Amino acid sequence: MAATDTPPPAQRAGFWTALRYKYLPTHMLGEVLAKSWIDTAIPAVLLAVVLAVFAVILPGFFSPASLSPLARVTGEYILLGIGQAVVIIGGGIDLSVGSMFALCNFFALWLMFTLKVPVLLAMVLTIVAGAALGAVNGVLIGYLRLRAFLTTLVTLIIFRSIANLISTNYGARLLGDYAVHGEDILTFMGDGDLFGLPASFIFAIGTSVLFYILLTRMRLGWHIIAVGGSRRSAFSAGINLRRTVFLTYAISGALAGAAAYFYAARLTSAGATTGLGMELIVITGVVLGGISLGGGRGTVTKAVLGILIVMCIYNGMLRMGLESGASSIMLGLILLAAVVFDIRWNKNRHKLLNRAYVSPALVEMPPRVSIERGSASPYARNDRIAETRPIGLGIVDGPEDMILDEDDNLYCGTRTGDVYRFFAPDYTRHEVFAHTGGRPLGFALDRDGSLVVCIAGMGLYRLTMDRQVIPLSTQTNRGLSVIDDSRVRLADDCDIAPDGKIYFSDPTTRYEVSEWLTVALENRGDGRVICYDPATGRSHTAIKGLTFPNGICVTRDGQAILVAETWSARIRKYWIAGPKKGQLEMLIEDLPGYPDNINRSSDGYYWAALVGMRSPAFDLALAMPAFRKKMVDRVAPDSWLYPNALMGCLVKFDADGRIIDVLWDRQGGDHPQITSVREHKGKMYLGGFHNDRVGVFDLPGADPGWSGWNDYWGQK
Amino acid sequence: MIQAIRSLWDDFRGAGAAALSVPSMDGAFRPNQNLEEAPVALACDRPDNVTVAGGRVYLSSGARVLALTGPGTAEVAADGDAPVTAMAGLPDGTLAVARSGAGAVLAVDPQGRGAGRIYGAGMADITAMAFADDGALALAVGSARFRAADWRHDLMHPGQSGSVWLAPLSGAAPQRLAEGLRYAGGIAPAGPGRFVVSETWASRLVTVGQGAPAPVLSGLPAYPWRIAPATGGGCWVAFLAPRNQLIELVLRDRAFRGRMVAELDPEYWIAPMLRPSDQPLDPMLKGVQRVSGSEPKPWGSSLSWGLVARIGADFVPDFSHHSRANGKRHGFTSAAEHDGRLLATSHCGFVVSLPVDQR
Repeated sequence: MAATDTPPPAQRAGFWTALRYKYLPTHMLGEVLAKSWIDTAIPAVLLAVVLAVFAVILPGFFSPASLSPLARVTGEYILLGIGQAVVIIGGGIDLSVGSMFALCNFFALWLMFTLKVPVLLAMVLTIVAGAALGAVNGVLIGYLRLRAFLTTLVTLIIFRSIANLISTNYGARLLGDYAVHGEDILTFMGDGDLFGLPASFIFAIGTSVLFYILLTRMRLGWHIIAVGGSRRSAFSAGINLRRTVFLTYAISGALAGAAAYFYAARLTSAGATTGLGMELIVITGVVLGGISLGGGRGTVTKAVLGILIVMCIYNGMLRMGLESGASSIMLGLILLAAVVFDIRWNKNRHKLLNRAYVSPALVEMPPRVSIERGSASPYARNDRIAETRPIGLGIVDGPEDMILDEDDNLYCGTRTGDVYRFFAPDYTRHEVFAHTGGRPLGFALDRDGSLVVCIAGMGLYRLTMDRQVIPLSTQTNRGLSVIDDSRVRLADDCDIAPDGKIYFSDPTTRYEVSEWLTVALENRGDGRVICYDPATGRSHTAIKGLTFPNGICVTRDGQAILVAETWSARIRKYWIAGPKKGQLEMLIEDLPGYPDNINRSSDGYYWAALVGMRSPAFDLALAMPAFRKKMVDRVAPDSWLYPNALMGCLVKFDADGRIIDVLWDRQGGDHPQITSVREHKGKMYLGGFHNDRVGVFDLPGADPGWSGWNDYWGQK
Repeated sequence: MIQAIRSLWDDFRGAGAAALSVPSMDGAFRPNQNLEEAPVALACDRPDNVTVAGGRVYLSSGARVLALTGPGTAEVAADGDAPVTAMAGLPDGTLAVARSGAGAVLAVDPQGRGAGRIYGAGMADITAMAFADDGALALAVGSARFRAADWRHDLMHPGQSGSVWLAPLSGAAPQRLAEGLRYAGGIAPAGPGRFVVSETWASRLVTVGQGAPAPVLSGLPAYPWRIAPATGGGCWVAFLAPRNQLIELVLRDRAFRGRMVAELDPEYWIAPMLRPSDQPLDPMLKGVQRVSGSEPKPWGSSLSWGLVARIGADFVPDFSHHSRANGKRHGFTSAAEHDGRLLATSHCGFVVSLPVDQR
C-alpha cells in the first residue's frame, strides 16, 4: 500500500459494469461446482481434451481402421478397470490383475483348444477361475487381514511365476490343434462386431451398467463404499467387513478372467509377456478417472472414463512411435499427476466452492430516509416500546413468529424445531405443542382453527389442534435454473386468502436458513412467492425474482397480498384477484430498514417489523459488488460486513403504502431483534429470530376485542 | 517490472502486501474483562486525555479540562473555544494543554516560568505531549493535513505525515525529531533525549531522538494511541481500537475507500470505532451479531474494543486490560498512573480506575 495512495474521486458503477453484473450469470459457477456430478465431469472433459489433441497431432486417429482395434483392447481394459475400481472403492488395491489375466488366458486356451470345452462354457469357467484366483487374494486380505498392497504384490509374483512355468512347459503343446467346439462364436468374441462395436467392448459396456447398478442401487455396492470410506463406521453399522473385502477381490479376479477370455479369443496365444505391466495401466486409468486411492469414493462411470483416457494416450503414444519404456514413464507421470490432483481436489474442493458460491450482485439502494430522533421524518426514533413483558424467557430459543388462537393461547416456533404453546392468561405454563424437525417460522390461522406454519428446510405444513403435522407444500414447479428450484427451501411466512389458497414466501433458492444474512450480502433476486391451492393439493410459483421475500399478508379486501422484500428494504403488492390480478406493484420503496413479517392491525392498517436498519456502509457495499466479492474471498467470515439485524422498529402502514406510525424500542432494549409483530386483543407480541423470549406490550388505542382469526374468518 | 508482477500476483492470491491477516490477541494481549469490571472513577462526556500534574488528576473532555476532586466528582480547571487535543503534566504542577488549531499552552505553571506561553502555534493539531526530564516539551503531531478529530480521514487517505517535535523550555522554535510517521497518536519519554511514540496506523511503537525513528515493538493487534510512563520503568499504552481484516480490506480497496470517504458520514465509515456498534446506522460485522437471546458474544469480531497494555522497559508487552466485543467501555484513549491506581479514559464516557499491579 503506497503512502501516497489517496482515495480516487468517487465513482459510481459505469454502464458496462452494471451490464456485467446484471447479465453475467456468475452465480451459476458456484451452483455448478456444488453439483455432485462435477467430479465426473472433470475426467469427461479430460477425455475430450485428449481426443482433441490426438485428432490434431495424429491424422487418421478417428478412422475406423484405427478405432476398431483400439476399442477391442479397450473393452478388455474396461473390464479390468471396473474390477480394480471395485477393489479401490472398497479400500484396497489389486496389483495382481496382470498375473491373474495371464493365468486365465492360459486356462481359457487350455479349456477350448485342449479339452475342447464348448466356447461359451469355457467363458463361464474362465470367469469362475478368475474369481477363484481373486478369492485367494480375498481370503488373505479379507479374512486373514493381510495388507492389500503386499499381499497382491506377492500373488502378482506367484501367479506370474505359475503362468511362466506353464507356458514354458505346455505352451507349445497347448495349441497343437486349432479346432474348437464353437468356432463361429469364438471368432465373434475375438474379431466380430455388432453394430460396428467389438464384442469385448459390448460386453464391457454391459458389465459397466451392471456394476453401476450394483454400486449405486444394491446392498453389496453400498457396503463396499461404506467399508472403503470408513472401516470402523462400517463395522459399527454391522457390515460384515471380511466378507465384503473378500468379495471385492473375487469380483476383480472374475473380471480379469472375463478380460482374459476375450484376449484369448482375439490372439489365441499364451506368451510369457501376456498381461505384463497391465496393473500400471489399469490403476492409472482408474485414478485418473477420479477414484480416490483412499477408498470410499468413486463410481463406475469414472473408472470407464479413466480407462478410456489412458487407452487413448497409450495408443496415441504407440502410434507416435514412442519406445515402450517411454510409454511407461509417461503413464507413471500421469498416475503421479492424477494422484496429486485427487488429493488436492478432495482437500480444497469445498474451499473452492465456498469462494465461488457467494456471487454478489450490483444493487443501488434508494436514498436513505432519516431516522434521527426528533426529526420530522415519519421514522424518527422514539422510545415507545419501553415496557415489554417477556413470555417464555429462557424457554424459547428464537421465536421468529408467533400467533394467538381465539382462546388467547400463544404458539411460537423455536430453533430446535418445536412449536410451543403458552397457555392464557398469564403464559407461565407451556407445553411442546408439536415437533416438526425443521425450523418453524411464519404462522397463519386457518378458518378451522388449525395452524398453517412455514418450516424452513421442509416447506408449508398444517398443525391441527389434535397435533397432527401434515405437509401441504414441499415442492413447486421446476424452473429454468442450474439449482433444483422445485424444492421449497426456506419457507418463511405465509397467509391465507379468502378462497383458501395459501401464499407463502421462499426467500432464496441458493442458501439454507442459517445463512439468511449471507443472502443479504449477495443480494441477488432468487426468492419467490409460492401459492398452494388446497383444492388441487398442488403448488406453483406465483412471483419470481424477489430479493428475500419474507413477510406475507393478505389485504383486507382479499384482492392482494403484501410482500416484504427484506434485503431490498421494500414492500410490494401483488394482486391475487380482481381486475389487476397477477400484477406486481411497488408499495413502499424506500424503507429505512429491512422489513420482515407483516400482519394486520386492529384499526385497518398493517404492521411490519423492521428487523434492522440500513447502514450507510452496507448500502455502499451493495453498490460495489467487487468489494463484497473480495471480502468473501479474503476476510474471515466473522469480520464480514453484514446488514444490521439487531436494531429495528415497528412500522404501521396502510394498503396504499402510507406510513401511519412507527414504534421504536429504547436503546439497549430487551428485543435487539424484531422479526415479527402480531396484534391481538389490544396487545402487541414481538418475536425475534435470535431472541430468547416473546415480548408483549399494551398498545395504547388498540381495539381490545380485535383478534386476527376474527378479522380473517369471523362474521363481518 | 518484477515488482509490478509480484504485486499483481499478490493481489490475486491475497498474499504479501495484499494479505489481510491481523495479529491475534494472545500472549500479553490475552483478553480479559478488567476494564469492563473496573470501578468508575468518573463518568463524564467523552473523556479524552488523562494526565497527572502536581499530584492532581486532570482530564480533557471536549473543550474543558477537568480536575478530579474526589471519587466520582470533578471541577472544571480550564475551558476554551477549541477542543483539547492533548495534555501533559509535571510533578511540580505544570500542565500543558494543546487545543485544536491553537498549539499548546502552559496553562498552569506554579514556577512562573512562562504561564501562557504558546508552543508550536503554527503547527497542525498536537495529538499527544510529554515533558522531557529537562522540562522541554515533546509534541506529537498526528497528521500534517487533518485536525486531530479527523483521524479517520488520515487513516483512510492513508496518512504518512505524522511528526514529533521538541520545544525547549526557553521558548525557542520547536526542533523536529521525526517526520513521515503513519500518525503519531502518543508520546512518552524513553531515556535522555529519546521518546517512545505510537506510530498508530503502522500498529507499532518507535523511539525517536537523534537519527531515524527506530521501531521497538511491531505487530501490535490494535492501534496504539497515547502513552504514559509507568512506575518501575516501561509505559502504559492505550489502544484506540483493534485491527480488523475488514478495515485492512477497505485500506487496500481504493474504489470503495474513495466512495466511502466522499459519500459517507465519517461516523459510519468502516473504520476503527471508539464505541460499540449498537446504533441503527453503524456498520455491523457478522461477529457482533453472534447473539443468543439478547447477549452478544465477547469473542465476536468487532470494530471497537477497550485495551490498555503495560509495556515493559525493554518494550516487551507485559500484560493488558480489556473490554471485549460485548463490552460497553470501548475506545480507551489514554491512561495515567496516580497514587497506586491506573486511571484510563474510555470514549464511551467512563474514567476507570484499576490497581496498578492488577493483572
